[in-house]
Amino acid sequence: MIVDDHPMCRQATGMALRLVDPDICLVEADTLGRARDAASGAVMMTLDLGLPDSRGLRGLATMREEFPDLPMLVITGATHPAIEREVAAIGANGYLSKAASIGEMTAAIRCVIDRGYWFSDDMGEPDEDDAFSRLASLTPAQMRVLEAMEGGRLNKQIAHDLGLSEITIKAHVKAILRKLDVTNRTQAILMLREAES
Amino acid sequence: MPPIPRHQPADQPLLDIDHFTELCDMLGSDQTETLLRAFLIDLDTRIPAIVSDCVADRHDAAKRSVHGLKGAALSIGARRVAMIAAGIERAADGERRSMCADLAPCATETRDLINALLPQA
Repeated sequence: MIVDDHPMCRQATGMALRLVDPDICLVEADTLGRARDAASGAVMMTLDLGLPDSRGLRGLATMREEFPDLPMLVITGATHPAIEREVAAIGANGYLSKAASIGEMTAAIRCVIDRGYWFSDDMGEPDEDDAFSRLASLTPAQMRVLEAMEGGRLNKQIAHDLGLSEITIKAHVKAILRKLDVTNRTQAILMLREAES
Repeated sequence: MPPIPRHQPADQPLLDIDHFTELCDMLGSDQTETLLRAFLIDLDTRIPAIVSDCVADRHDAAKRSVHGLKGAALSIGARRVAMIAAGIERAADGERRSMCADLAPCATETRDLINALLPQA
């Protein structure tokens, strides 16, 4: 199963899958929702991290929770050792850049179909000063607030959207800035974008 | 937070020739051509949309489109387009519009190069 919102990327991944197994039955999905509906019975899944209904690693975590035994290969344009560590920690079977050669992609697919693992030899050690580690330290509620900030929402609007008081949102924003070690909302938003791009 | 060092787009090749050659070797010329033609369509359709979204400050739409363009460009080894797209994607909302100025000329150069590689219809 190929999950990517870009038709050409699905096409390229499909070609690589057919190199591994010419008789493979390909199912494509362009959103996480469609992938969830169609993933039962799949022998493996390639998953992009930037889907219209799922940004970042939350989609991977959701899929892993719902399909704990499904071999999953993350194929993404967002390559960073810290993201790769998170992908491995969530339980994916592999992590590959969209810039990978077709030879590497087929090798990764073959490995993951065989229930192996495809990660860099050197993912590095977690660095507490790393922007990704700081983002990972946010609670789910704080992450929701940060994503709303990134969408241009004001505290009052975020409070309304999330069904919380404005004081609570202000407290979350303060905690977010402290955890990310930034001084204002713009810097926090840029850090999130950096991580998601 | 210390700034993250970045390569400049001009340091990147328009097309990674090793990536492209391997595509041809492993997929064959027909499938490679299919991918390249799909990418050309992407350039033709997405770039005007990205520029127009950036000019109109439709930041979410611009980011979605440019993210897709980046992935497609990486898939075929169009490195310079991918790098410019990545820069636009992670830019602050106010900076995105000016960064678009680099995208169209780079896309034109990449399109010309790909067209030169493709068999003429």
